Amino acid sequence: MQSDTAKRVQEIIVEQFEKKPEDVTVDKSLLDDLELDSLDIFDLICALEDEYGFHFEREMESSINTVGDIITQIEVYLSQK
Amino acid sequence: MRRVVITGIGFCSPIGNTLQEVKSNFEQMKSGIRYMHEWDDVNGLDSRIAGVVDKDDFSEIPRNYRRTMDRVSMMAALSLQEAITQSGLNKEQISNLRTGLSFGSAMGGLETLFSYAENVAGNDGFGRQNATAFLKFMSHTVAANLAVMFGIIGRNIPTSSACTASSQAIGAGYESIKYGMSDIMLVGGSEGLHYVEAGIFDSMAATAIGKNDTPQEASRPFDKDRNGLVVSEGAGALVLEEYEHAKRRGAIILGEIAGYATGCDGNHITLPSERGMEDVMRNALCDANIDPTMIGYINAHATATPKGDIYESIATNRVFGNKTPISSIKGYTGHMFGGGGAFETIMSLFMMQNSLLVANKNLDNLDEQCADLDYLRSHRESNVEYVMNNNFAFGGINTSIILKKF
Repeated sequence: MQSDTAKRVQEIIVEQFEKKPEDVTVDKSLLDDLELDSLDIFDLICALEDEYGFHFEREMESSINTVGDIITQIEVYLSQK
Repeated sequence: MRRVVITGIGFCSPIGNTLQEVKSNFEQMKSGIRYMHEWDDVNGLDSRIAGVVDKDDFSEIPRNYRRTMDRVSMMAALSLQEAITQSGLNKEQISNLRTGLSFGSAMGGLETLFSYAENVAGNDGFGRQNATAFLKFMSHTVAANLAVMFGIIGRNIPTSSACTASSQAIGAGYESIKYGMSDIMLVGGSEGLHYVEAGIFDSMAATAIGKNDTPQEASRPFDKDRNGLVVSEGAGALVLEEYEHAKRRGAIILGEIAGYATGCDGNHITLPSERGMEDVMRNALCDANIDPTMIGYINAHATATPKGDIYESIATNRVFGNKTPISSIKGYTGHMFGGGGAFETIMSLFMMQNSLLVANKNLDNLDEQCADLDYLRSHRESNVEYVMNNNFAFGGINTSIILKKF
């Protein structure tokens, strides 16, 4: 069962990058599978910061590889809030 | 000498995005200028009218290109795609060291710039600004984005000289081919619409005022009741090609660029100079190696500002006398700034191809201070072999382009 966070992150990626929902699964690599590049990642982080109200540190950004990594980072933040 | 021909055109304009739409608006003498309800909340604007391109959905441009494009680049991209399609050039011919690009705009991505500035000045600061914003508003955003989208690996010459941005781009492309640096040049320009343009020209007393309720009558080049320009948006793109190259591949040739000149007044930042305008027209004629009497039509810059039209008419009279038909299409379009020079060159080509010279719109009573010229009061059928398109910009930058029928 998908968490609310996972659903919302998927929606944001689908909307922002015009992807098919079925292609945006937790195991997908942002760069290799979804074919995003560094500019896209920066804009995705910007959208997520707007959505969840926190700031991604640069060291956090470098540890994001998959859709699942983003969801994990956000869920950790939300649990500590 | 290498000859330069036109093998494709494309545009977005306030009077239509196809030749059929434009022709219909010319026939009805209908302008693309309307009241801007979108600006109702903007304080202090005297001129609340503008020429608007009827196009809001740009989803046909793939997202990975569109993500760094402001409206100014998207209109240019669609125009250039149309021009390339018409030219019949394939991907290998476009993405080639002998193919270059020259495109301009006056302002870059103004819509994005203002939204970015508002966000930064607000509570967000730089914390949550998109990484792509600068790429949408930088001064060479059009040329940079088109180069990526179309895979340009030859020369790329962005131009940014306000009202001559796209005519200088055409000139840069023409000279690149003529002097052997390229075989194909994709050229043109674009401008997006923003209320700040109306505000800027309002503050210089250069906009048409008192016409917010009658936008069709607002832009009136050479008319005694004109009181300024109407801001507008749009883009124009042309494929320029070396004649032998076009002939070898069996391209349909739409016309030839027979001459071009650019020059500078070196005098006043806003006031035009009759001498500078006259010089640039004479230099273009010299480049084309033709006599003024061979020009069958002049597309005037004439923006409908009180002084500019007078100076231009005097300079034109000095070069041509009073026998050459002349009109400005800004009565229909308003002033497309960075897109104007290219669109007006395309319209000059259209008139030459169709042997139909388009009349000045709203020229009800000629300003007596304007020089004696053959101002077109109604559309005129005329088989012309050469036409001239003139554009003049702040800073005293002048261009003149001569087209030849093919």
